[in-house]
Amino acid sequence: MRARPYWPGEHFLSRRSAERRGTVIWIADLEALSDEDLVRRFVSDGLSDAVDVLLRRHQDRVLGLAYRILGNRTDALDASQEVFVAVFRKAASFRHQSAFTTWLYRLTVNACNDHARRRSRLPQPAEAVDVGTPDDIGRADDRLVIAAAIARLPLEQRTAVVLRDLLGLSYEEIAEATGSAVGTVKSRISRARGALAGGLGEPPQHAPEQESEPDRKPGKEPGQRTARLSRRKP
Amino acid sequence: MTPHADTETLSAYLDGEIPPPERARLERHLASCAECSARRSALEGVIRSVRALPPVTSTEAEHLAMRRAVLEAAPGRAPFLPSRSRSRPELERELGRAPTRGPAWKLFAATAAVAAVLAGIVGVVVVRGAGPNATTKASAPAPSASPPGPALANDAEVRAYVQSRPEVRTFLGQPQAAAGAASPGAPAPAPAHVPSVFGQLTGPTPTAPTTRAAPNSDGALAPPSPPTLGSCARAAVLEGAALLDATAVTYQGTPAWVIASGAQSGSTGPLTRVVVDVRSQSTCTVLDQTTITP
Repeated sequence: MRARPYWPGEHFLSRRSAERRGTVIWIADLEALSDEDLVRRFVSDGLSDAVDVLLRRHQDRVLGLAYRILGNRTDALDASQEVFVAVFRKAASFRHQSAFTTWLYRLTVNACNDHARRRSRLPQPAEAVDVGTPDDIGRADDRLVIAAAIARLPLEQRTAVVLRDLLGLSYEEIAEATGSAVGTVKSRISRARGALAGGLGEPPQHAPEQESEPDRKPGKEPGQRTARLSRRKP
Repeated sequence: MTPHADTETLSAYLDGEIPPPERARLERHLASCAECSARRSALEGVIRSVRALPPVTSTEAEHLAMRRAVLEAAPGRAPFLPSRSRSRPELERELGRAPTRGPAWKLFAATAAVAAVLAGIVGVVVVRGAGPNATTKASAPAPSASPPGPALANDAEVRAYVQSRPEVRTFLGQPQAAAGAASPGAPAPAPAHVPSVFGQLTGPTPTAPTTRAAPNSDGALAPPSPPTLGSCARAAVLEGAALLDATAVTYQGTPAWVIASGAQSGSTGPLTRVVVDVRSQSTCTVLDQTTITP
């Protein structure tokens, strides 16, 4: 962005008075601001260019996460939009204990869970397609198989593995973003990868005790899965 | 010999989430155990292929829609500030100019002048639109609403086409919303069932009108409009299966969609891969249908 001075109330206040208050900012400097400062610039100063910068910084990752969780682009766009509206609305509730991006991904995961729960739409492939570079069909097959396999994972596993492998979050950050324990995250990721690898068998001898998910009641997940399936039926 | 490593440990190890002492023990074991290192390579392969998925990017229009949503949702916006929501090109063009801005009263004056002119125009339009001319206009079907005429004008021709080319599976596009928009001069034959090889849709589509070519209330098939890719792909999903992925490809030189469907659960179950030609104006043509067993 080119340099341009901005100050809150620029239509009413002279630049000199804003300089006296020390509220002048150069638009070009927005790129260098932290995410939190951008949010503050918009929420308290009304600088809409800050929204622009923040969106460009994060919208593709949020959209990508939502797309892989929800499996269609329309829902993913809806969810992303909700996320960014919430970011600026709930800015006051952001606790600085966690990184801004973790908080952002937590909002995204929550929005996606809401969408998945009340999913009324079929997956919409037209919008789901990444119209990137048209591919050779043979090469498309590999990614088609893996994308389809991810789409078939249970929601929690899919979320965990996407946060890990597409967004590169640590287990601790994933635990924070999904509101679960680190042990649960570890187990979900390994189950997801095992399923994606075509069902890796456990070692034959000295097999450790059953993988456990601390905060999940037994039998909860199959129930959810059938519920999701039954909703799909006309 | 040290005990074998389970998948969870290997997976955490690959993510660097294993504490150092345990890590060293695991590495010693992996060096000596062929089975565990094979499972490690399998997991590495999975991680690689997930990372290799193409990134999802938003378009400029989507960015602007998101931006608008944020700005509109913001509480207590001053009336002037929404006028600052410009597209990026506009913004850059503006920022490229000298950053000068007149005093506030000039802006007020300019806004007032524009408002006055707009009010005048709207008033004229409203007054003129209230005449008898407007009512006749409103009842006539908008000519731009109907799609450009496809090669197959009515359902009889479509049926003949389908029957003449059994190897080409065709699928009609969305029916017109207005029944009256169907070609007025054409006769209305009995509702014909165009055979579909794809079975029923896998679920309700509450937001969109049905994508299957359904007979209109007067029994005539609506003229096929250009199919949306969504309708093509939905049609390509077999009954009981879920649509799992779709992507743009070139198939033997023609632009096409590759659509994967299969059972929702069971990551290793077979997939149906359908290649749909997207160039056609009025039909979805399936170029290829294969079952893939991952």
